Amino acid sequence: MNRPKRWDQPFDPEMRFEQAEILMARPEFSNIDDSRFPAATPLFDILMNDCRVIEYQPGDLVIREGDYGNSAFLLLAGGLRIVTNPDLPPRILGRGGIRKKNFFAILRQIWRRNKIPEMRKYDSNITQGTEDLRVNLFDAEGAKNVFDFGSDGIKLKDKYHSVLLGGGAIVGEIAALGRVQRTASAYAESKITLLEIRWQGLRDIRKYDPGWRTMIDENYREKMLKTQLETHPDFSDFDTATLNKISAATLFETYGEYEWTRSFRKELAKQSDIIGTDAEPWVAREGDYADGLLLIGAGFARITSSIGKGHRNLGYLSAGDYFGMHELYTAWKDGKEQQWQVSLSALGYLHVLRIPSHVLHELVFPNLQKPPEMPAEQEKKPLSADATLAWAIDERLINGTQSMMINMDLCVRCDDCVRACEAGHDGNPRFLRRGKTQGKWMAAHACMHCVDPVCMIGCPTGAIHRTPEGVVVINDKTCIGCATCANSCPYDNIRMVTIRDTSGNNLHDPNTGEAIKKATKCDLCISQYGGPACVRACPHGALQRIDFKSSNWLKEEI
Amino acid sequence: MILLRRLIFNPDIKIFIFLWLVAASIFFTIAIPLWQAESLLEAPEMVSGYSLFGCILVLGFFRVRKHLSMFSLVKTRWWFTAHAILGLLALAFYVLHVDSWWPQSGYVQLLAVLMFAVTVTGFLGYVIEKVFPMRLTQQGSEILFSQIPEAVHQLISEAENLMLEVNKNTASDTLSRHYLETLKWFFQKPRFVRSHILGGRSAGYWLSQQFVTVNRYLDENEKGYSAQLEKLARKKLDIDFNYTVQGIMKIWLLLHVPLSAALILMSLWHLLLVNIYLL
Repeated sequence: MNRPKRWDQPFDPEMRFEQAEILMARPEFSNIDDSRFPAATPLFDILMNDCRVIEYQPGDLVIREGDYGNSAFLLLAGGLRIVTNPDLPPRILGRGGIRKKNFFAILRQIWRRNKIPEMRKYDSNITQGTEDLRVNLFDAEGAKNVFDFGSDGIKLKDKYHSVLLGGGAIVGEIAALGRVQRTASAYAESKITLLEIRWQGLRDIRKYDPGWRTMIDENYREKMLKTQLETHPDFSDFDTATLNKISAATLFETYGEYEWTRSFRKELAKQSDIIGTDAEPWVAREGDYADGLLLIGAGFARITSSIGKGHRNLGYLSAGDYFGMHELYTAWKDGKEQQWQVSLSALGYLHVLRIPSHVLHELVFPNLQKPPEMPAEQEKKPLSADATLAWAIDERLINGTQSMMINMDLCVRCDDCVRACEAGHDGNPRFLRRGKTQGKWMAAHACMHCVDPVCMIGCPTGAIHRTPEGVVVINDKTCIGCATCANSCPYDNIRMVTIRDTSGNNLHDPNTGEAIKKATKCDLCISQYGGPACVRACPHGALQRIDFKSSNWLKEEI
Repeated sequence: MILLRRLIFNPDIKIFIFLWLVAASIFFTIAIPLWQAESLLEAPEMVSGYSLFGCILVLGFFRVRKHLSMFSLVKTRWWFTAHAILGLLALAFYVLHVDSWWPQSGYVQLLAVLMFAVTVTGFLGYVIEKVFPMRLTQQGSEILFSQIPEAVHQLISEAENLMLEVNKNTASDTLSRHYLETLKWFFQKPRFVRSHILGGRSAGYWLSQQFVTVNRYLDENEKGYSAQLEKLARKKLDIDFNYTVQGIMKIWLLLHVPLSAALILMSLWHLLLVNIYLL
């Protein structure tokens, strides 16, 4: 199999040449200087391959607050209403449905354990629902609490603050490029036509057209960057004027692949050393001129140094971390030439904010309260200390906030963890006690509740979502069994199951005859008390849930 | 120094020490008054007996707790530690109660046998659970216990197909004869169980000898098949090791749990008899 190429699969295979020509004539694109685009990726081809035109009916939900999306929307015609505050109720957005069980419900679990796997008490007419995936807020359950249905039309209740956007407006670009959650919901006020631009296309238009770049960057600076800088420990003491200057000079860069799904991972597995390849491109290389401080906006990056004919893993960075502060500060203080001492490469997708050196020299370093801390010197440790770190990075375990790590030297293979999980989930265990191993550690197939949840990109109904506590859960009632999340999970931690009725028979779609499936995964026992039952049930303390970012687990292992 | 600091500040160690202190306090709170004022008490055996029975009941609750995983009843690991410590405390109360290691009268000796059997299986289980997981991890290729029969069946089928192939392609039956005479025995059932339990290498040594022996009579073509068969046999060796070690980790509980249930029932019977006839 050849390595897949861009545009092997257009965003919309039915996009027509004439449609792209009409789009090219619109002011948003006609003002773009096409000669700035490389011959391999002309603007017209971006519109043909990275965009699609969609029509929405009044009330159709276009953007769901809290979702991770990889597209931005250009409003071509009609009115799009954005609900800014407060957020729409979770129920109307297809979420919720998970409540803590009360004491008696928990007690009942002792004797009311289902013998039938994946049994659900649904109507017999349940359909798989793969045809019309749109949610219409006007028809949704609980719509009367959100909208006033008057004779003069349907209006959002006064308690919701909202903004109505007209033709030419662009929305969702920050979430798409920054890989962050959407901050507000948007629905079609009237019949609307939208141009959905997927991430790759948006990145290229921004890269080659100064107008789009200025517009997107200004939005980003205004909505995200200031907050990021204000909350950063090294910048939090600076006054607003200085922060504004830093913000204005900051450059935005993106690297790597947005959707590093399972198929992509299989490709990676074929290569022995992917560092520095297209799959893991360089962001900064050892020995090169260090031109600015790198702040990680989203995604992960690997820090390496050259050793022999390969690269030694020294650590990794994730959102909120920075690269090069100590090196740049030391070089500035000593008046030496600035060179990167180590290298940085993008793991999967990486969004970087580059603060140029001259800004650091002028505004940051002279005003620092204390010198930046020296990073941990992994290089001084023996090579054998790298094994677990390299494993955690290569397997992207670093993405986990609740990775199930089992110490196999302590685990007696009793499966009490599996039984405890089963007891809390109606007789259906939500993880597998097997997985990849390194030394005594096994990363079991249980949802890791990732920092960067690839599974949440593309769910058509919003069934998979993150709770305010940070737990990634699936609303069983709104899951349509499309398997988008299961196919996207790079760790194989989401399973599609065929559901059954109370007699134990498989449920089938009456229209297609196909078995009804649902996506299932670990929900950290969110409906129970006392945290994940698997951890509590392990008699030898072998099973742990690890947050790679905040815990010291990895540091202790290396 | 780092190790010492880790030990001191390790919350696990703190709880472990705490549980030991609680167990020791319970024992001495009950035992010292019994020793000091044995003559003043009308029936000191009642105090030690009820203490022993209480210990046995709490020990038995560890099994019940496993079925109550939906309740937040302290992590099971602390129940397990407390279970081990309480087991020793029960043994101490037993000695205090009987006033020797072996009782003199009839059915009470059966109770003592059960008590010792539960203690011995419990101690054995503790050692097994501390030693065997590590051996399994270090062996490398692990297979789920429930998948072992299927894996063995698959291996036998592959080995037999290979023998049919070698007969067909080499026009010689030396290797297949050796398979039927000797190696089939190895493939059919878990073998060298004792060696696997004790950590010996006799299985691997035996296997090497079988292939050294037969390879003397094979040509280069047949040796290729012999190497393939040895690869399958080595896989079987790994499966046997998994079967033995994982099996032992499960089997000891099949002794410990029923014996414990019998001990609880017999203790209850003993309690009833004492209360009805002796008081």
